[in-house]
Amino acid sequence: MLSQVITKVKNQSRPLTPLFGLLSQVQSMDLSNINQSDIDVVLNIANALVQETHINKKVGNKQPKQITTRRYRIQRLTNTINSWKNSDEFIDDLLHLPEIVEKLKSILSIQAKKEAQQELVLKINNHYTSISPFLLKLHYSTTQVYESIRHLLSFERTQDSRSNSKNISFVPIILGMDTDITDTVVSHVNIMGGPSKVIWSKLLDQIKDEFGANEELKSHLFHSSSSNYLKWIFIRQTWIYQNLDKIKEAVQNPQVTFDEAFTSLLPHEKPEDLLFYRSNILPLIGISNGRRKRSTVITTKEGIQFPVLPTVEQAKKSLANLWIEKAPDKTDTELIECFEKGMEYIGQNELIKLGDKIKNIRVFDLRVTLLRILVKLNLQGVFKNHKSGTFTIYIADWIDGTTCLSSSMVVVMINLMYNKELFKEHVTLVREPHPLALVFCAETKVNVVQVIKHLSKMFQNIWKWKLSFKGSDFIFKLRISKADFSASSKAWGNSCGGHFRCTMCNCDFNSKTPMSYKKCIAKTLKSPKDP
Amino acid sequence: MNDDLTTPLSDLGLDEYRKAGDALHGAKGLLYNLFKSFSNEKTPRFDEATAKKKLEESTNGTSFESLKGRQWRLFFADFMNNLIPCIKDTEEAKSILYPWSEVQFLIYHDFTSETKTQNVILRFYVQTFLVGFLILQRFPKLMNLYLHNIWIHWTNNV
Repeated sequence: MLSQVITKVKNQSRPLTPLFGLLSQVQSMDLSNINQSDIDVVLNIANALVQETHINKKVGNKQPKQITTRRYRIQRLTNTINSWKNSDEFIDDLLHLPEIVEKLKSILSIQAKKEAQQELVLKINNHYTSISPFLLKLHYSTTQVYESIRHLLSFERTQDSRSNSKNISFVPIILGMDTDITDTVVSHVNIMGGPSKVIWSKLLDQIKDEFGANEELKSHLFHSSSSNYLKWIFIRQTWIYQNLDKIKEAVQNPQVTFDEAFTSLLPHEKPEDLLFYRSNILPLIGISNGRRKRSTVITTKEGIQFPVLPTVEQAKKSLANLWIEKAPDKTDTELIECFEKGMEYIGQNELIKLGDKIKNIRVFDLRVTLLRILVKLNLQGVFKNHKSGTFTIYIADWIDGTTCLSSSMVVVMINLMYNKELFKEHVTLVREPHPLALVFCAETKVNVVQVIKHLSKMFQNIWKWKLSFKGSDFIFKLRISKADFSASSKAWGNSCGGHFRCTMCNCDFNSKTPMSYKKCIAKTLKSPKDP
Repeated sequence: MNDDLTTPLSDLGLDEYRKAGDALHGAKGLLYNLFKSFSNEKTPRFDEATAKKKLEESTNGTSFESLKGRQWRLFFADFMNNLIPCIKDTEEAKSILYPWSEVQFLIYHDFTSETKTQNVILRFYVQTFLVGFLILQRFPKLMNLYLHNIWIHWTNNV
């Protein structure tokens, strides 16, 4: 078995473990390209390993040779590694790792500094890949537009922060919908026999003036988002609904101007207070606490029912000029033109059979998505001035289960892999993930398999497509499949071992006996699957 | 593949298609287990109240049972503030958490654009190896799937 293991280790293009990685790196280290401190680190490691091996082999009573030059020490190390690979002592040598580790600890005594930790925190915050922004953007086009807008207008709050109104954070809205929402509000108010459109416009002006009077609040409410503004409108609308009679009376009085009447009726709370005002009112747009389900229809005291949110048609109409319809039918040139104008692609709904149920799956055509990514990168100046030719761009996919709007959701995403020849050093931009499929279903084995099957034809055909863009030809190929253990097991059709089976090497941890490092390596090496 | 087991992968453009680990996911599992192992230590006793307070301060999390992966990574990234005050035997804990901090830092590192990539990779290997080994020295039962993933497979992705 050991000879097989050794052969496998030797044949690996990439190291199997950090240990092998370390060794192979040291072995192949080009001394001319590394700085002094790195050389010292390597040499110390080398020394430690060489000495360990000597001690292990008990080479008589002789002390290891005095190591004089770095080159010589590296050579010794290389010989040691080679001897590990070519003998059955390989596993035995691993048993003496603790001593090596102690030496490594002293070698690597340079500890992470405070600034480095802060930088790491910043990296985690910035690098966080959230699926949510995509969902927020995409749901406008789905039949769940009601839910989406409700989601946009609802507060996202943690359990403990609910009691503190100052902890409320707002969900950013991505597509501005002020006009349409306002129109909808106006129509609802009219249904209720409330203020006319003209009066409502004045009301909006009034609200805007109020915002204008308080710059701090204005910046707070309008900062990169119009959802707060909309929320404000709806809260005001609630107040109007509750005070409808007084408003009617005031505006019908010819002796009093609207502004005077309205101002006298305004509640005394400061805008900030009113924004967080929750008790004793029935908001027309419910303020979600993240748990309570709210009706999409509000019934007034008079028994009149009206929807809380605009209709799907209204929302779609308002957004029609922002996205490309029937994008897969368009040619590459047409699509490039659309994307350069800033239009969005939001995929199309298809039907998929998941178990016994037929569900909608929002699929983003791979060709269109890739085109969109390239145009976007080009507009951002990420492309190098490369020579014309044919380039292969590799793609990575990612599948995972998540939750959206209190429902389970399976998401498939793709990202380009960085290519030094093509792109400048904007690696994060190049690697940014983009959605490929969204479906509201649980991440079960059956569902994941069906979703992957649904997309498989698209994956299989993409390499046949050659895109001419920026004077070059581009070919796309799938290269990496990323997922967590659960999703990758299901997607690749392996035995789903839950928390116990590695999908990379099939190493099974479903045992009461703790696995040792030695066993872990041996099992990995024995696995017939490619690591 | 839609049960097509006869067409060569090269004809489907999938000849270079490989599985790869998801580093960020793996981190969550390990960090959860590592935290549990620290907090279950009887002697010296782990200060759970301080840990919870630090959790709220650093990640806005309310419970260690419901933390997202990103929150776990944040909590451990600032371990000197968050975790070390709760652990009495700090030196040994630091010897695990310092290299982990660096591993975490390096996993965000772009290995493709770095001119001194080889050096960085070397350091990444060393630190990853150290993390795994030191964790097992203190918590031998932690040789589970998550540690396995980090120890064995993370370096494949570099």
